Amino acid sequence: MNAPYFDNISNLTIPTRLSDAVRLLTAASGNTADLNNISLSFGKTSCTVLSVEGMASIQLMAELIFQPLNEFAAVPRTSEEVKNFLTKGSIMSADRQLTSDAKTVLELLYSGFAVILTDGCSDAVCFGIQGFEKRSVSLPETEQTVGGSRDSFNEALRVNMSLVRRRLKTPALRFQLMQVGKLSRTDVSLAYIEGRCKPESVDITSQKLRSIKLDTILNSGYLMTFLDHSYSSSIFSAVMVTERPDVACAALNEGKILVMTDGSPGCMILPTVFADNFRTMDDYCEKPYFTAFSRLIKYLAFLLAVMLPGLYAALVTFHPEVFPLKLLLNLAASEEATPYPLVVEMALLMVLFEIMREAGVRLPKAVGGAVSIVGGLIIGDAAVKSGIVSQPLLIVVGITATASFVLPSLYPAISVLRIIFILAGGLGGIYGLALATCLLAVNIASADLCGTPYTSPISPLKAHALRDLFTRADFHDLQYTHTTISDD
Amino acid sequence: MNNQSRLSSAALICMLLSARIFAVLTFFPRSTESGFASIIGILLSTAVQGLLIFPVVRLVKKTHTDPLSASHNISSPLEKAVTAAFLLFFLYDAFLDIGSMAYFTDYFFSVNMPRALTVACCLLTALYAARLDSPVIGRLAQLSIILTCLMLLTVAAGSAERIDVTRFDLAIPHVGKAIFHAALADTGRCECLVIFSFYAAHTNGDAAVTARRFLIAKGTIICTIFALVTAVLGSLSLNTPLPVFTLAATSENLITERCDALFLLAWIFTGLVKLANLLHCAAICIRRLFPKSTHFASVMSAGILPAAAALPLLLIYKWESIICSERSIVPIIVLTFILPLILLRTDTRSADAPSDPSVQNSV
Repeated sequence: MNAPYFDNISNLTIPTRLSDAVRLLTAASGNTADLNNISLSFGKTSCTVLSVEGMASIQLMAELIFQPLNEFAAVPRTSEEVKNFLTKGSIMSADRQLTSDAKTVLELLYSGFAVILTDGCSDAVCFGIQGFEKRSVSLPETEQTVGGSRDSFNEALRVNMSLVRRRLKTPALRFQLMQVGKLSRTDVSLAYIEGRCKPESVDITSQKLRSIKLDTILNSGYLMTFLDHSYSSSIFSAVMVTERPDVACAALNEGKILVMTDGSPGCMILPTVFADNFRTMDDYCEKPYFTAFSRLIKYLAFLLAVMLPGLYAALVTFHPEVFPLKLLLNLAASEEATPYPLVVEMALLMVLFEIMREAGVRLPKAVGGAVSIVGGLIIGDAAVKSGIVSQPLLIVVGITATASFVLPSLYPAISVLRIIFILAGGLGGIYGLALATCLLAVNIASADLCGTPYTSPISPLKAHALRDLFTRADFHDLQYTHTTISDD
Repeated sequence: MNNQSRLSSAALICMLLSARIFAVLTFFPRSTESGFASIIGILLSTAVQGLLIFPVVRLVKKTHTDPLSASHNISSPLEKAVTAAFLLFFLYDAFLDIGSMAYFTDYFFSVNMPRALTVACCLLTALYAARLDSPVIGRLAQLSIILTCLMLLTVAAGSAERIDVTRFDLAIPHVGKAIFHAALADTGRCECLVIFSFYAAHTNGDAAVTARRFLIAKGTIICTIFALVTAVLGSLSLNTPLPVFTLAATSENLITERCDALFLLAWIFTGLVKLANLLHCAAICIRRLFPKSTHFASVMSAGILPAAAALPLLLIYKWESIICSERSIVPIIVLTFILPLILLRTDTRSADAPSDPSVQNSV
């Protein structure tokens, strides 16, 4: 085999002679050590069961494959009888495929199927008895809620599909399966609700996925740049990743599309709008007034996380007349004692915070607490007492850091924008901030996916969706009105 | 034209409002004797503007095209002349806007930036937005209007204690003359009408309804701004540069002593949106006149030309003579009234005839 893409066997069919078929598939696999080969005899007819170690379940293979075959082998059988038994006369697995294409057989083999080859028959019967090790459904780690469900997607695509199907028992829920990645042949599933989603959006998304020519797809992040055409140019992404099945199902109900990747615990939702980052499932478990309050808090948190450091630097450096006199005197006294310009202090503190955050993410949990103590108490306190940074600055950084964790999905964008706004405000004052705000607004306004602008429903204005920006509709109202993301 | 590159009615209205609001936030017409007379003049001017843009609305309804495409349908030299006229107007307006932003930023705000750098920053930001499609600029304009309304509300709330309705008086020697002067000055600053004439055929909604809503919104906002300045600061303040800045500077609330930083944010934002809009329109005109030019080249040249013209005047501190001069209403009347009227009369094609394909991808 010259290239690792199975191109040389893509047009080959399984030979009728069993020994030739086994030789072909074994050679195509390079005589790999994890390929199991069990031969059975039905009198004059022979069979071979191929499976990959660790991919197919041993128990299921014994119960569903070997036991029925052993019983069937009690009397001599012809190849036709064996084939009929395997394809029609028994139920050995819910997923049964019949194929004579060698490439398909190998793909199914490496997907955890057991392949049964029969002498005198060119069709291979493949049974889905996957039994590879996978993580069980666990708590969501990055999208925790108080009142919402406690399960999350894991790395197994079929499990994720079942988590969605369990919540939406409608025949309108459709899944499209495809293999992406020339080497990895990763299973990718497209999910949508027929009648809610725009058909052309599904077609375009499916086309984009099928046209990917990467070798391996190991994570949903590999696909994002192909799905979102503004991925590289925009700070925000019109594709959101969630690990919660309830969020995914809510998105389906709004006419959005899910893209689930085997091996990745995140499920991509597209198209999303900027306001989607501020919604959580807790909003639908609480009363509307609290939902409105918590949404406003989130919007405020975003503004604080992005603009507060830059705004502080701009006002203190260029526009101190804005502050009330008492506050101004305190700020002046604090800043007077520090050796560096405010913008330098601010940028240094933010970089230090990011270093500690990265360290906290990578460290084992047992050591994580020590990092908090070192970073927060020792460095922060010592820096103030030694006069390197001022106390008001530390308060600003603390508020900013806390606010940025309110919106985990926006954290990457917030981290970068914060630095940009610090430099813009520190060097250009409010003028610099205005320019940076305009650039940010242009960046947000230019993102769109599947015909849905990222700034929707503010721009273009969609009155029916405006209320959802700040609160959620009463469920009594939702009984009678339902809108999707594509409604005008 | 596919729907994705068409503007929504609301987006166009916000783009036009951004243009007008920036003009009014920057400079009030000189020799304004009475705020109340100015408000009456603005209302009259708004009514007259409804008549001014009537030919454009009729043209759009009849031919479903803008003046450039309508002139293309008549003859190529006429198309070039019309395009050149629009291009010169947009470039001149961009020249005024870039210069005003740099001049007043330096005048009022201690940004410690040389004027050349201020011009460069404004230009680059506007070019970043101008290279995108018009619906994107429309979305930007909607955000800028929201920000401006928030700014005005905050300033008004902070100045509420000092509002004195007795400042609305007509105690001036020549009331009629003042009203007429105010109406003329307001019309002279309505570059938004030319922008409407340019974009009216490229919206999803009805041009007449869009025009009506725009004029009502414009009249309301401009009158509100004038009323606020007059009620808080008095009629004499109308003759100072950036009177709204002065209003914001005297507006205090529980958190801040002044709101001029908020004013600067909203003013720069609307200015950049207007500038991006003008450069985008100018770039379209350049591509019509020079079909071989690329999108990037047309946008860059549309930006560099006015900036290069404004910079020398800014650096030798002669910009005040530009900003203090009266704005003529002749270009606005020609481009929004006379030209569409001529095109309406001379256009012999039916409404069902295919429009100019070269414009379908240009907006």
